[in-house]
Amino acid sequence: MRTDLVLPKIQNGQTTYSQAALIGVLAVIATKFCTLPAVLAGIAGSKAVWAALILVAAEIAILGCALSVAKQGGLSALPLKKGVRVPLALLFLVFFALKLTALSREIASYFALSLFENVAVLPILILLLLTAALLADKGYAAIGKMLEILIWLFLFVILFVLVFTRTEGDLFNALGMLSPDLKGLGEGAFKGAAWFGDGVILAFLDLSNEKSDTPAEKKTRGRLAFAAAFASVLIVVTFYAVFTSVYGDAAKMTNYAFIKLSAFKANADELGSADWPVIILWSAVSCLYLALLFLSGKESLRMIGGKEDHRKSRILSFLLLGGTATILSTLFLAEEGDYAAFMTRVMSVVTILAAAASVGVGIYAIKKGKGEMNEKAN
Amino acid sequence: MVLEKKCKKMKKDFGESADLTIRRAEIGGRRAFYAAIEGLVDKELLEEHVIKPLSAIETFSRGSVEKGVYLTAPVEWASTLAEAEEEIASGTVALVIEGEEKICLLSVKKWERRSVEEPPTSSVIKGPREGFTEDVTVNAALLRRRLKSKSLVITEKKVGKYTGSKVLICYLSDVASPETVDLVTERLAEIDLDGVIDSSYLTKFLEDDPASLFPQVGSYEKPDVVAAKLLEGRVAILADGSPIALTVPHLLIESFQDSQDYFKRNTRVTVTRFLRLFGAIIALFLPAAFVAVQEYQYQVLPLKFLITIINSTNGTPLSPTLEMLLVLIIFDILNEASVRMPRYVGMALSIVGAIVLGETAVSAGLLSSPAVLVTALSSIGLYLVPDDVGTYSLLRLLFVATAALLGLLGILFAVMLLIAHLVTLESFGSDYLSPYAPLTAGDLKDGFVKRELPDMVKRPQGVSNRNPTRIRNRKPLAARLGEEENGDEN
Repeated sequence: MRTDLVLPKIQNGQTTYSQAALIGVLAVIATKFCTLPAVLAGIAGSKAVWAALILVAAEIAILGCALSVAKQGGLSALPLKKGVRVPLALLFLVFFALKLTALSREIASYFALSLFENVAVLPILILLLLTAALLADKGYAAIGKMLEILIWLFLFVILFVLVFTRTEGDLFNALGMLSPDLKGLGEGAFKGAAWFGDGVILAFLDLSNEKSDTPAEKKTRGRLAFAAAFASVLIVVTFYAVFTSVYGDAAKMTNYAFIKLSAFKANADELGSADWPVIILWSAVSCLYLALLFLSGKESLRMIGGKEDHRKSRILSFLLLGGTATILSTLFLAEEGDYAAFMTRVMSVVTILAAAASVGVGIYAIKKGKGEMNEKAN
Repeated sequence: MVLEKKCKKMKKDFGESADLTIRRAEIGGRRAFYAAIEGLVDKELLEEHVIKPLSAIETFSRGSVEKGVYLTAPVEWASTLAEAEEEIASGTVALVIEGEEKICLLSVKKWERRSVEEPPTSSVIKGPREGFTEDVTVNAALLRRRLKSKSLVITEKKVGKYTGSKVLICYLSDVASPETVDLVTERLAEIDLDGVIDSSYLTKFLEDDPASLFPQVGSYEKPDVVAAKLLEGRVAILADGSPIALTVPHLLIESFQDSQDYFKRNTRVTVTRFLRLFGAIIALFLPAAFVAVQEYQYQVLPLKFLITIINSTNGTPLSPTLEMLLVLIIFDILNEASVRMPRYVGMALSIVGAIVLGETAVSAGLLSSPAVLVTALSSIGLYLVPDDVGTYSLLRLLFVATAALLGLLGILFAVMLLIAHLVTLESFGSDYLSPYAPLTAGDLKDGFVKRELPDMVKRPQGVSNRNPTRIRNRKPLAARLGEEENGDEN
């Protein structure tokens, strides 16, 4: 057999379905394990698991809508009128800039607190943002590929933790989640919303070159989407269930959930703590997540300016976003109380608005896609 | 121009070089002279089978000259003296005859050649032992002997203003991607260099990102390895004067593969490849992690282990970072010295390095024994991936520096940036981290987990090629092994 096979060249910004699925999983899980467990436990008590489940389900719906936009070539490729495009881009810009500010501050302070002694947050924040910006400069496709590498580490860590972990969980601590009392569930879901809405990122990907031509391809991609959604739900819900079973009502006092993973320590005398690989992996994941926020913020800016993706404008966008994040988090979010208030009030509202907008655009993209299919059929 | 003038001009053009030999003669009643470079021609052949028969010619004509030597030396005619001089410089004998406008070129080249031997850098326990030599013609023949097919195409290019080196581009015409072949030809044509002393000179002109620390062009000394690469759709480049063949595209996974992997059981090879990966990880990260846990994250270590390290490092005058950098740099100095020293002095140097420097520094309390142990382990790991020793040895120094700055977090940031660099790196259109990023399921069969050859029905998809199928009819084997019929053989 002799065929002229030439591999398709993937342009920067275009990703494959599997890379998009991994980016989706990353967006869902990245920021759910640090300060959110305590916030949800504080509001919803042992119902935190259900609040997390509601939020993850909403996130997956957003991901689905964003995916339909990506199939059309991404937000910037949609034929939106200027009157719609500019306000939409502005909303997303504010959303990503605030998210970058808040979550980089959360991640940097976690690093400062858990990995160092007497080291200020600011230098860590700056280095974290710098690394994330450098990663973002490589584009969505590069981040997708990095996740394809990290997935092996992820699987290894799961295996390592399963083999060496001895959890100190007590199922009786988690029994509260089965009670019919739903007090705090709605409030928890609203105030925890700030940590969600990351599915919007997928709307900036370009999957237009990845058309499912054959039924087999459609089936494979359907399975991939299902696996990604299932993995996201499973990881988040399992974590919250185990966390609640370990800490019970004291869960609200665990400011940074990862630090409290010492409950999972085993073989500490011979191998060290089994939670270290998890922490290292999460650090990598959070770094990539911030890079995605940088990229999506930059894309929102580009939608407003309507300019080509030149390196110069890219660097300027990253400087603007990084600078904003550093200044805002240093001036207004330095205290834990300020940060919690910002996330549960301002950020929740902005997130809900951005999520609603992305759902709206997603529905438009689905209709447009169906219209194109009908045109082809005719 | 009269004969004497031509002779004088030739001598002048060669700068009165001592090795330019001029020999007067008479051919068919006309005066003539032979010009050649001593040491590049077969003297016996020239004397017995060229000069003797040509001296016997009674009447000169071009036909009579060609007839006189047709059994021994191919004859060509150069139009100008300059053209003839170029040929003389590459070993041809020029015969200038009075009254004849053109100059006769006789190919009786012969020079000292190294025989085909096992290359010292790629010795094997099991498998072919032949290695390339410095003669590009011999190397091309070694490839031909393995790929006895008209599909093996070998095209020639001349590169280098002064060396005029013959560079051969080798590929299988119905396997290699035409785009890759065109790209190689194009990049070689763009080279405007004084000289090509070794094929390594071409590497930087061929690579997609010459500034990267990672090699994007493979280099091999064995024809069996290169033949296997050609069968996968790669393109090989042979240069005159170099025993090293270059292959493109080159992927990172190739550094973890070895020619012997294909002669052993796949289970053993899988274990070996993971050991190589583990060795590379140790080489890169162990010194940095040692610095990080000493400087910042000592809580990572189990208490007993931590106490042992504290006891061993107690009293050393240098900080963990400085100590580690010092030991690593000393190792690199010793390594460089042992490569450059004559073999016997090199052995003495190893003893000095290992016993005198290491032992004495530890017992004098200048260095801690864990630092020396970590460096030793890291350096052993380094040599599990011999192709990338230079790259990894530099990277581990950078990782130590980042560990000194931000501990484990610094290492993590550096690793992320390194992976980001690697995923964007390409070699002739192939992703450098293929088959892992982008994930190419079919190519995983020859990844860290290796499957047996009969399972590799397809050629690697990470390397673009025009004929993806390697095993056309697997049905008899599948039937013998009792495998179920499966439409997707991939």
